[in-house]
Amino acid sequence: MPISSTSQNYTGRLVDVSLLNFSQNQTVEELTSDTKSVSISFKPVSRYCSGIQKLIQRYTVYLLTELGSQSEDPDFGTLFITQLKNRQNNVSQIDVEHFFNVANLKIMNAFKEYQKENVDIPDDEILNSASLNSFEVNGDSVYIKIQLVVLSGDNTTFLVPLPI
Amino acid sequence: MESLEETKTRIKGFIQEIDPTVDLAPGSVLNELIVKLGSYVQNAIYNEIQDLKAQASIITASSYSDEEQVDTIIDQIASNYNVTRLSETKSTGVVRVRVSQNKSYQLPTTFRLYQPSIDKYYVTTQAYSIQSEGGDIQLKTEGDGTFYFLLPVEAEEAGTSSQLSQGTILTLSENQRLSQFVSAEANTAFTSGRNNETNTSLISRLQQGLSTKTLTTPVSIKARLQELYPSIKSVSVVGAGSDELRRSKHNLFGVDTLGMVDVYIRSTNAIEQAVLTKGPEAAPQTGRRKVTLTAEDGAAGFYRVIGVYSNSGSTRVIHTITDITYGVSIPDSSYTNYIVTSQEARFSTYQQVEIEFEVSESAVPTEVEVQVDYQPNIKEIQDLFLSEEERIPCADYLVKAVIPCFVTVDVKIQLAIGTTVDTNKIREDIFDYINSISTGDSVNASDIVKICHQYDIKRVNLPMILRGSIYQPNGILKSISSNDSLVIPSDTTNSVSTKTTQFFVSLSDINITTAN
Repeated sequence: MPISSTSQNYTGRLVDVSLLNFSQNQTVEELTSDTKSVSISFKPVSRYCSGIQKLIQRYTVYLLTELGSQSEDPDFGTLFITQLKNRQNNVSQIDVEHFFNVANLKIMNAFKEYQKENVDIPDDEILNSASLNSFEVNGDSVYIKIQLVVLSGDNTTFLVPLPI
Repeated sequence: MESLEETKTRIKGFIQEIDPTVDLAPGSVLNELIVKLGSYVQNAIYNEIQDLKAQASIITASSYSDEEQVDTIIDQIASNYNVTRLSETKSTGVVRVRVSQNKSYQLPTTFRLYQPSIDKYYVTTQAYSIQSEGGDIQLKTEGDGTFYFLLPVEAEEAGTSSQLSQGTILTLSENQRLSQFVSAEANTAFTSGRNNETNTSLISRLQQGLSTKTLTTPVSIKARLQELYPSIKSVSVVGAGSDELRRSKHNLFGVDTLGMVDVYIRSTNAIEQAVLTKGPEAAPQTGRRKVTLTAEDGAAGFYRVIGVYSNSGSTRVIHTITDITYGVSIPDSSYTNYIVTSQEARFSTYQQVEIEFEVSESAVPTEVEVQVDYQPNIKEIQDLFLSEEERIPCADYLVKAVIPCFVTVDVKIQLAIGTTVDTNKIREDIFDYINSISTGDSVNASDIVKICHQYDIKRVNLPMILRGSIYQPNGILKSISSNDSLVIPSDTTNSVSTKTTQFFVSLSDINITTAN
């Protein structure tokens, strides 16, 4: 999904805490071309986010939470990580694609149900589809690249996370 | 009790009220870290606080929709006042089982009998060996070439609906075998079982739990008696200034002298029956004998004589009663009550009854069985009031069984075409209703109609006939009837009033007819 521009205008937006580390001054090209490992963490200066950033976080949290790991919400999460862990050092491309597709179907259903109940969600936070672009297995690590397509399509503005 | 989802909704609402710009969508950081974890912790604490708040008062506890939870909380509150809920009890009695052979019988622990009209089962509580000589139970001869034994049983289900009246036929339950079995019937009326105490009744006893348990005021008398006799249903105290109290007016001016109290007790819901055994005495007329019964013979203050029986060889004899005379019997004891007339002694431990009956001079029995109906524990409660430890030295408390008004009800039910209804269950409900009517209340046709409409019926055809027979202390039967509301009349010269008289009914006196 291409990003047409960046913005810091949060007017009318619902915000979440930002977990992904971004530099304030990165250009759109840098933001979209910069590929590196992402570690989810809180920084010394907390930031809030909205828009695409928020959607990516929600998707990531949902995908990587192991199903049944939360006693207060046993239906939240997917089996993606659980199934990868069960395979240990014996993961194939077909396995990853299959595990991802099953997990993605669950996430899409949950997101679409939420989007149906909340009609005032901005277009850049409405998830249309998600797909596994590529992945790489390196030792005991798996790197995956997921493409998210939102309703705003090619006219998506990236809202830069701001300090709280 | 708040569910986890309700707690989450509450926390989300709280956060969004503070800051409407916060996003709490599934998967968002704030939802995962604050809402979910917070609600998990808060939910348990919130519910515990609600439980503690509920225990602060009965009003709060009663607002809970979960009945089991309400019962538990009220039990806990009641225990603070040393009052515990009365648990259900089973109806017990003796069944006369007839067999065709004189031999030994062995009954297992769970020997079962069945009463088809009310669909109830009755079981033995231990194994028995029945023999004519030795054994746990004696096999006796009946008059018609059969044999019988008296078998103690209890109802399988607890509660008031299993009580049987004397003579009720029972059969062997399915899959139950007894060789040479002929028939079975209730030898006497069974005891009244008890349903689990309701919250309303338990709450009303809390007041008594707080009161001083001495025999001084009506509340404290009831509290003390219920402590010793939990099945007591009602206590009514008639003292100085009450027209119903006649004992205190034996003076020149007919005015009340202080210190005398009549305590009317209802110790069970339904009437119970007993068999008193005694040797007859000579009577003035030929072909007659008599027995004189006092409290020492049992069933002190009994209401009615049902019949007089004896065994003549292998024959069971029913004696025709020719006369019943009521009198006074004052025992030789340190403390007794002031009683002058037989009317004052009636239904108390001082009641003496002389029963004259016919006999065949060629076969005079050495012992007869007198079947009576009564309220239990009258003598024991009177002894309590006269005991050195409990009695009020300046007072004369006479204990009496409540004056009975025996009710018969005729109910005509119209059913929709093609439908049926279990009239036995309706009969049981009407039985419970009438026998539970409080002091001062009436039997209302509208309440009986309401009971009938809890079942699948079209209507109750009116008028409904309600009849009552009041067994007055003077021995005269007073009849009352109504199509609407059967009310205890006021006849204080005969000690009859709503303070002293209560309604009783037996299952066989509730007549239900149905039509489609």
